Amino acid sequence: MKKSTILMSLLTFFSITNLVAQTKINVRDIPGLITQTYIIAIIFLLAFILIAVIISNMIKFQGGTNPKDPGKRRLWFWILAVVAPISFYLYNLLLVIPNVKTGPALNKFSMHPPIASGIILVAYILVGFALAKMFSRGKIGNWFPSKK
Amino acid sequence: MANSDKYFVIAIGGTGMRCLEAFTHMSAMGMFDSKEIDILTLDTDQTNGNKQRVEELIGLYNRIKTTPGKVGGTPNSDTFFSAKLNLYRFWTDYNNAARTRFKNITKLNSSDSDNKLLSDLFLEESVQDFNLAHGYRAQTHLGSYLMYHAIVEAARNLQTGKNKKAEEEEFGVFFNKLASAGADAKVFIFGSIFGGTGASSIPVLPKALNDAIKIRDNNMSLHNDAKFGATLLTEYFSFKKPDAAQRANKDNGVIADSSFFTLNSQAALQFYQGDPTVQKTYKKMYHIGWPIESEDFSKNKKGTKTITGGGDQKNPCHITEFLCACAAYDFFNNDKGMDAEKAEYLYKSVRYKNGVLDFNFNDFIGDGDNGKLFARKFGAFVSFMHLAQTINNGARGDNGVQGFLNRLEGQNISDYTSIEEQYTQDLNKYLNFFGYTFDNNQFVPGWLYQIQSTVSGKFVLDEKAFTQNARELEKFESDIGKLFSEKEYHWESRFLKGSYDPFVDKLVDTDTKPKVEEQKVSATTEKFLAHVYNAIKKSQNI
Repeated sequence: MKKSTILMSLLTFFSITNLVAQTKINVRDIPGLITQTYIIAIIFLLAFILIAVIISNMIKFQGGTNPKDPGKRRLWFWILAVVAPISFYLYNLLLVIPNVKTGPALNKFSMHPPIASGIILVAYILVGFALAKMFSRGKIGNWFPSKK
Repeated sequence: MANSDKYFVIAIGGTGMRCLEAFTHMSAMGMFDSKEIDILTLDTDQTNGNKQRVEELIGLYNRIKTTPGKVGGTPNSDTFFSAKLNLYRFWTDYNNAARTRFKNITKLNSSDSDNKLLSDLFLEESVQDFNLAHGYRAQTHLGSYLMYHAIVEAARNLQTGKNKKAEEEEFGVFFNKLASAGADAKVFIFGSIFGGTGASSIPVLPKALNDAIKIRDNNMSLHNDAKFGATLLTEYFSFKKPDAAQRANKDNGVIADSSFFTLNSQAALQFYQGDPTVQKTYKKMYHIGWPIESEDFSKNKKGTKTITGGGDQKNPCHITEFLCACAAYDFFNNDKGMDAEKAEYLYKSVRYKNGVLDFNFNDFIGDGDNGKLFARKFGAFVSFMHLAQTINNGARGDNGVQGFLNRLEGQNISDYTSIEEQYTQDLNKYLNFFGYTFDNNQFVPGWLYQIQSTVSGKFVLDEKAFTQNARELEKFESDIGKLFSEKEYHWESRFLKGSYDPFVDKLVDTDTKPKVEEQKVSATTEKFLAHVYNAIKKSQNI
């Protein structure tokens, strides 16, 4: 179930990437591109949350009085929190923006990748926090420190 | 087993103490659910290493059980440490210079007295003159006489209030409870029949207790329907033969010689078969013996002398002692034959082939439901030990029990945050006694491993469960769910993660939270133990 979800997400991501990469976008198409950018941002967000969940579950529970596994899960969660907006921004910078015509079209579009990246960061943390609280007894409950 | 039954255990002598050790571990496993058991340790040798070890163990058990406002806690159901154990200690005083030998106690100094002549008729000179501080040294004819005398003397001291000693007061509380229990009393006695103190005491104890109760209070007595049971434990260990040099000292004029243990056992069995008082007093007697080579207790011990007692007598445990504790389980839980006029002699055999004995979970307290109960409780406690000692590194000086609490807290379960570190240290220490520890990278076997080492064949679990190899123990996370050879009892195992991951999932699952009413747990520490027990029970699915 998890594997098929990952495959579907990756396929969608690559098909949209190819579509964007094949055409030069002018100012008339910018509203559509902006919408598309935010949709892809949501896909990035969900994909990275999914990756964080998978990695957290892959990390084994350890024994001992000071097990390292909760720290590892937390570390991976925050690594992905940083990587998600950066990779989204780089994707736009390297694969989308070169296909946008310079001038008004680029001016109109250029502010949206950083905004969407910021949204990804904030939404990733908020969704992560919500999930950690919802499944507080499970492995993803380790994403945020427990109350002492 | 009636609800009104009152349970008493009396452990006598070094072997009796080791049987009691097994009994205590069975209580920790949760084999005596919902029971309150009054225990008396009875010995001639207060410094005996085995006696001190079991008293320390029960002290630890009671500290673990203690809840706010209730020393020793209360009985619980279907959890670890579910029985409440009340320990009373009594020892005969043979350290006082005026009481070190039979001659002194009986004031036999004049060679022309009738008493002296009578003594000479029954007791050799060396028997009258050896130091009693280390027990009766296999001289059961002398031992029975002196043990009866010591019990009656204690009752007299309690009655008059003169020369009353602390151990006599503890003994007084015990036999008052025994008298108050009336016909509901079920008394089980642990001791060997081939050695000294146990063999001397088993035949005379019911009468001595009855007389002591009467001396204490003329209106009271041991109820005629009080039920006594005992083990008839024949020889299963040996030790170095004493040499002439050691015997030269008159204190050591008599030293138990293990080469006579077989003969002693035969004579004792004849006595138990023929004696009408024993036959009438005891309801059930459990034959327990060891058909293969005896365990040599002198093995790997430094020194040339035979250890006669004292702190050095700290012998390792043996499976026969565990079987004695299982006999107590049967006596307390099975009322069949309790109305009989004569003692019933019980035994059970196990698989024996080519000099190898194999024990599975049906060989201890019976098969069917009892076998499953044993497998569940024994398997669960061994799992608990490995989780704390092996996976949480408790055996290597870490606080393995604290590891459970940290895990639960880490997974946002804050029900047990009020548990103090002292509690986890005590529980960890108990598991050291039960399982094993490492001392300077040297494996030190606890009770379980000592027992297992006396069995040449299978001992309930897969041999991997008893590995002493440090490397294998380090990788135990993958084996924790495979303690049983029977695949149906294996825990869930996940690819690349083994069984520990699914166990923690069960530990944090709401299903395994303690059931306050059902498990009779109210204090936080009781709930914690019940929680861990439930998670293990759910994992092993027995």
